Amino acid sequence: MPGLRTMTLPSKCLNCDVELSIPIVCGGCHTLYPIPQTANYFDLLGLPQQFDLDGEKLSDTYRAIARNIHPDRFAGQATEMDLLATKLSAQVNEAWRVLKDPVRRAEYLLELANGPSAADCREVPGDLLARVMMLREDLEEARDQSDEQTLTSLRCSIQDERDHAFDNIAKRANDLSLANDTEKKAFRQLLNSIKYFDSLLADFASDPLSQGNPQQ
Amino acid sequence: MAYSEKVVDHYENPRNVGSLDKSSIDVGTGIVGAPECGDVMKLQIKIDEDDRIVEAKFKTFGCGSAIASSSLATEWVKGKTLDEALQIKNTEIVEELALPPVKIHCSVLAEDAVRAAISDVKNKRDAGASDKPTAAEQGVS
Repeated sequence: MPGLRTMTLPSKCLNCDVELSIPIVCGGCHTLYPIPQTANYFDLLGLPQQFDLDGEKLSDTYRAIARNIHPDRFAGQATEMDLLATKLSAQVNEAWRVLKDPVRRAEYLLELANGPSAADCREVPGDLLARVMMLREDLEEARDQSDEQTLTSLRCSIQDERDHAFDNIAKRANDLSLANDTEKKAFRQLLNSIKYFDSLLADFASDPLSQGNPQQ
Repeated sequence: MAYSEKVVDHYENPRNVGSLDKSSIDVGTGIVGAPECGDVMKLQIKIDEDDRIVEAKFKTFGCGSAIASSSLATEWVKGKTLDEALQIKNTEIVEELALPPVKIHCSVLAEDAVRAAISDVKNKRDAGASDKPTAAEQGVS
């Protein structure tokens, strides 16, 4: 795969011969290049394909690229450049949306490693579903009784469990390309568990009592 | 998205909400979830000695369609034998509640919950009938 990628991605600008740091736009003369079929989101932003990314660098990189390929920059030029800029911008925005969120990034790395999608594997680790059901019931009861103390402690323990699951994801996400099928499935189960925790936490966010905001 | 009248009816007046004693040998519990949206559904059935479902309860934390699907499922399984209840298809739930395509997964969840509850109570009964220590072990795990 890496060999194929270097063959299809231009390494130097065909217009001004400047080294291309990302494959879709020249930093020197702003010539645009169509996205090669083999390029993934990391390639698009010129980032290493790994889970650990410097968040600030990621933002800076995205902004610089987005500026360079912004369709406004090519308005009035040859129509195909204008169209290409629009298409590239959409792809770069999508790449940014996925990569800036650590959970989505982990999910995307699993996809690149040909791991199971959420539709392929809907399981969660161990008896987590029973645990989520219990948390939901406790939450409902605490709300019915306006028991703020229990609500606060529930929220903390859900956040702790979410953090714990996320730590496990972070530990394994860089090695997915070497993982076997069992490990990839376990990774998908962890990702699924995050969805349940986030749904619980979102429920807190929409709850006026636990927010201490009677206006909502 | 507008819900059908039947969904609204089940949502506003859910049938059979609640819990049964999950440690009881004649109670089967199925807990299922949808990772896409974080919905969770618990469906419990109680059987008599002829494998007929005499009681069904559910608790669903999710959207209106998920609540309506599980509410309807508890109504449908009551009075059926386990084998008859296994015949319930999610497509029948979709039809009855006029669920739109984006909500079909809610009916799948309800069907899965019924199946999980049936399989739970069958396991319990088989283990209890053949070998008591095994039943105890299963209770632990």
